[in-house]
Amino acid sequence: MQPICRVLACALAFASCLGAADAPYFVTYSHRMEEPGNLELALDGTTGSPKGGNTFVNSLLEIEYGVKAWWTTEVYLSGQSTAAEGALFTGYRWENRFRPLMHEHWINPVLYVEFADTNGADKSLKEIVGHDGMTDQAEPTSISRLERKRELETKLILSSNFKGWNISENIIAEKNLTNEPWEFGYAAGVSRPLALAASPTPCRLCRENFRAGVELYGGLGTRREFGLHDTSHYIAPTIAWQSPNGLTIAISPSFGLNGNSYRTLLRFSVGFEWSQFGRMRTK
Amino acid sequence: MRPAFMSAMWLCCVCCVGLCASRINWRDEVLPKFRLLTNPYAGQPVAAQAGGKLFSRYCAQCHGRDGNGLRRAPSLRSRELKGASAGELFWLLRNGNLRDGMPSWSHLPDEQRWQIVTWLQTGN
Repeated sequence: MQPICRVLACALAFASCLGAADAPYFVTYSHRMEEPGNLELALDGTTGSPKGGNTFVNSLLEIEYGVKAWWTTEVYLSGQSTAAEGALFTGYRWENRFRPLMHEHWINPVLYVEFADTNGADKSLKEIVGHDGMTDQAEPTSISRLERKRELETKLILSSNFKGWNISENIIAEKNLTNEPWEFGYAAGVSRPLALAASPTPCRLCRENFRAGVELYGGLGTRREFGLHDTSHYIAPTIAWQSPNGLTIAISPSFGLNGNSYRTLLRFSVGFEWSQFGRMRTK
Repeated sequence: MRPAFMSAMWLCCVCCVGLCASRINWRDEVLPKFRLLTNPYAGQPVAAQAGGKLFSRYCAQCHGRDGNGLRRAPSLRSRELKGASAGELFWLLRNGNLRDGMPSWSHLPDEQRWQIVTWLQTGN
């Protein structure tokens, strides 16, 4: 357990000097884009204990930048620490999100494209696709790290805001660039701030700064074996707090819905957003 | 077949450049139903105060603390904005002006966007 405590301690120390996204989702994307010129740094952690495997903590360092009001780009650096197996860097991901429609509609589509170069020891569980399940993570790190994954992931993000509620649905298609079939998954989320109107006085812990929601996500098999058979699914209540100075803290316990899923996963995130970072640099 | 394909590609490029180059005034894009909306917080000083707080948090980074505008975002004290109705400002906050760099604030609840409109209209 000691390395895990160390990783958690580092994460918390890092958190104190950082500030992240304001939607409380960890897996689902909404149509909210990063404001142009803003830079966001966040540390996302996921911890779980697979049956027959060791407890792990996966950390993702997320660097997000608003290139345009309709284009957000993001790089993730991923590492994990597994009890009694050590810690390692597992790879990177580079994602881009594009908003094709310039106005707000009842349903707002966003196109998502990601390239990931990770190894088999990556335990970020950032999305669940195909037949992903708990048993994949039970393999010792020394073996799983030898597998290299170069994946192209696409998502169709559909999202709506209505009377303070956000409702988002993601349809995921992922392709390992070796000769493996397309894998599919889904994620959906609903969230709402605890107060709709802002209070007139400055405050940190008032209800308007909290957002609560719930996510549902899981795999949908592959192109050859499409369906729910042998897939894993999760439901995850989530809550986020955003301070007025840009610091965001979010936490979400995920509960597995079938035998292929982890019984529980705990996700946490600490992030900070620098306003107009790009413009500060050009001055 | 090939020249026809090339011509079609050129036509697409010209159309894209034309679309990107054209600048449409945001007020022309506001749907009539939004123009007619009335601000539920109009004339309420408490709502204006809350709107000022939200403005500092979300808008001041680009438009400046006093709303006079910074290098890449326009002044909110311009004649155009002073002349805009509450419904038009509400529409602008909801949709943004993505082509020109103004993000959409649709993730803020309606109530908070109206509070910002209240502040803009009293502050201006």
